[in-house]
Formats: sequence, C-alpha cells, structure tokens
Amino acid sequence: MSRVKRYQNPELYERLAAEYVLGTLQGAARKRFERLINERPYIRYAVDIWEGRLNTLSEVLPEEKPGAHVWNNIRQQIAHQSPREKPLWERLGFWQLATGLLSVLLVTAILLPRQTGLMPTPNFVAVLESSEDKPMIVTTGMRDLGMLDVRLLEMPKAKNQQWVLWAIPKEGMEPIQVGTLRQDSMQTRLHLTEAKWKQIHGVEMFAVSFEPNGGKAVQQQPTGPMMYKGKCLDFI
Amino acid sequence: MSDKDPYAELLRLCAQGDEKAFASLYQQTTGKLFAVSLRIMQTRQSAEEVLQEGYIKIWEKAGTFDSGKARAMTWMTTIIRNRALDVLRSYKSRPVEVEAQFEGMDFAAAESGPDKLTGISLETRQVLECLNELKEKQRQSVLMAYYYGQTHEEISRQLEAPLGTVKAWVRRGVERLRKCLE
Repeated sequence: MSRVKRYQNPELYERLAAEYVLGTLQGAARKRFERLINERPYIRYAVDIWEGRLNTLSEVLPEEKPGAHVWNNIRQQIAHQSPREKPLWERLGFWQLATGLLSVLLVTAILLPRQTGLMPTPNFVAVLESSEDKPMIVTTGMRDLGMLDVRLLEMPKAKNQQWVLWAIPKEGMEPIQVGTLRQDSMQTRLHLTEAKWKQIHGVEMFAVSFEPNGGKAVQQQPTGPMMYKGKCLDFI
Repeated sequence: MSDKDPYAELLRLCAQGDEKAFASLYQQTTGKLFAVSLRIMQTRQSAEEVLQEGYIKIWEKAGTFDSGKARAMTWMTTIIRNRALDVLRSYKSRPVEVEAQFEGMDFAAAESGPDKLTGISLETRQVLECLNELKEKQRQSVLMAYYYGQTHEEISRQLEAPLGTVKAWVRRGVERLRKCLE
C-alpha cells in the first residue's frame, strides 16, 4: 500500500494519533506524522480527539510547586508583549504589509548593490519576528568580511537582560550560540571565527533569547524561550 | 461530578491581554501543570523551563482556545506535555534520575474512591474507568508513556519485557481504550 493510502486507513491513523499524543510515536515517524497533522484535517481531528481523552489525566496528579522565579520570568517576558486584542488596522494585516515593505527594502538594499559591486556580498539574511509576527531584527551574514550584521528595528524592553543571538540548525534541534547584542546601539557587528561560520552554515533559522544579566556568562543553551525568530534565507 | 470549566473564562480574558486573569490562571493551574512537566522531565530545573515556556505559549495562544472543542485544563496540558516531550526527545540520553524517581501511578487508579475523585471532571472519570478495563500490563505501559514520557524501549527495560511485547501492550491498550470511550 502506498504511504498516501496507508494514512487514509482510519484504523492506522487513529492508532498513530493515539501513540503521537501518548508520546510513543518517535523519531522520523513522529516528524512525518506532525507534517500530516498540518496537511490533513481528518488526522488533526483524530489527534484532537486523543488529546481530549488523554490530557484530562493531568487532573488526578498530585500538585507540585515550582520555584517562585518561574512566575517572575513569565511575568517579565509577557510584559514585553502587547495586549492580545489588537486594533482593527493591525488585525487587518499592518505587519504583513510592513513585512512586505521590509522585504522590498531588503532586496533593494542587499541585492541591488550586490549587482553593482558597491557592497560586500551577503550570504544570507533573516528577519526575526516577535510572537506577534512583528519584525524586530534583521540579521545579515557577510562571510567575506567574517561579519554578521544585526540591526534592531525596535529596541527590546528587556533592559536588565542580555540579548543573545542563536542559530537553529533545524526546528527542534539545539541552538548554537552566536553572540550577544549591544544594548547601546541599534546595530551590532559580530565578528565570527571560521569555525563558527562552518557551524552555522545552512542553519534553518536565527533567534534571540533574553538571558540573565549580572555579569554571568551566557549559558551554552538558552535559559528561556526564543523571543524573536526568523527563517534564514540563503543567497549563496 | 464537575462539569463546568473553571479556567475557560480566565483563558478568554487572557486572550484580551488581561494580565491579572493570567496571574490567577497560573496560580490555580500551575500545581497540576508543573506535576505534568516534572514527571516527564524528572529534574526540577528542566521541568521549570518547560513550564515557563509552556505558560508563555498559553498566554500567546489563549485566543485560539475553543471551549467548544476542549476543556481549558486539557488544552493547557496539551501545550505543556508537547513542549516537555519535544525537549525530552531532543536529549541524547535521559537524565539518570528517571528510574530512581519513578514513584508509581496510584494517583491514576479509578478505584481511588468517590472522596478522592471529588472535583474530577466527568471526562477524566470516564478515562480512568476505561483504563481500569485494560489488562494490567497494557494499562501500566500506557500510563508510563503518558505520565513519564517513557519510550517503548524504556518501558521494556523497566518492565523487563521484550520490546515487541511492550509495543503490542501499548497498541492494544490504546485500541481497547478507544473502544471503551467511543
């Protein structure tokens, strides 16, 4: 039976949906199934049903108390996000429009001088957006100069934290630390070693997290969620 | 029987940017959701990280919650569990504490008695009753996977049973559970 037909078999996708929710569907099979959830509404529906069945089981767990810092971190992070209910003009797609304009500007700024030889060739660009799809940072890699140019479109409000740039090879994989952004300027130029360039070659996306300050070295892995994320567009 | 959904209204307020409602939601649900995260992650630090990321997602996605489709606690549990499973599967190996801290699953026993089931929703009672109808090993395997995020291989080691047998227990377990709940 072809793979397409296999997944139309209700008995099979019902079972896979159950094992997906349970967590026993793993590795490549799990990734494949995740794609199918997004592509096929009947599989999404089967997963919804199993989530509704199994995830009620949290109700019977004896409660556990997390540290107070968890709520403090959450509160601090949501404070940087605007209210959920957006004004009409914004809901009508202001940021889609802004992103579109930004793309045009980027193409003009990057590709045009590139053709005329006025500027070093950029190898990739990534527009990092907030969880509300608002463009916040533009990252441009210029390997010839060994430099990663990071421009803030808006100054983050997280003043007492370090803003750390990460490269994510693929969704779900461990991020690679790239560098810390300046807070006294809208632009940071990170000079990367050859080894670091090799490490970040072909990554899927870039992201920024807010890390604890206070003179502490940044951890090898982010301590909190990625606040801004953007897919990397390779030019070469 | 507890049929009303106490957190649905708080989620609706969160969707409007009401931070007080979010604080209240956190205060009321964090005990259960941290328990979910802690059982899967096994270390407090990683469980707290998952919890933190999960609640931020709950805040961000509150507008997508549909009270007609799921109970609020179920929806939030899905977010926390999915994040925990993603993080867990990204580890090369599991923290060593997992077996030492495996403390059984008596809390999921349907025969806990009516006094212990006070405040438990009708849906959860039904699932517990159906779980009770599974064969012992099927039930145990399903619950180990659910509560501890354990893989077939880990369950196989812990129950000292062949991998193929464990896969069959899980497969038949969910099949019987489906028939019972339909």
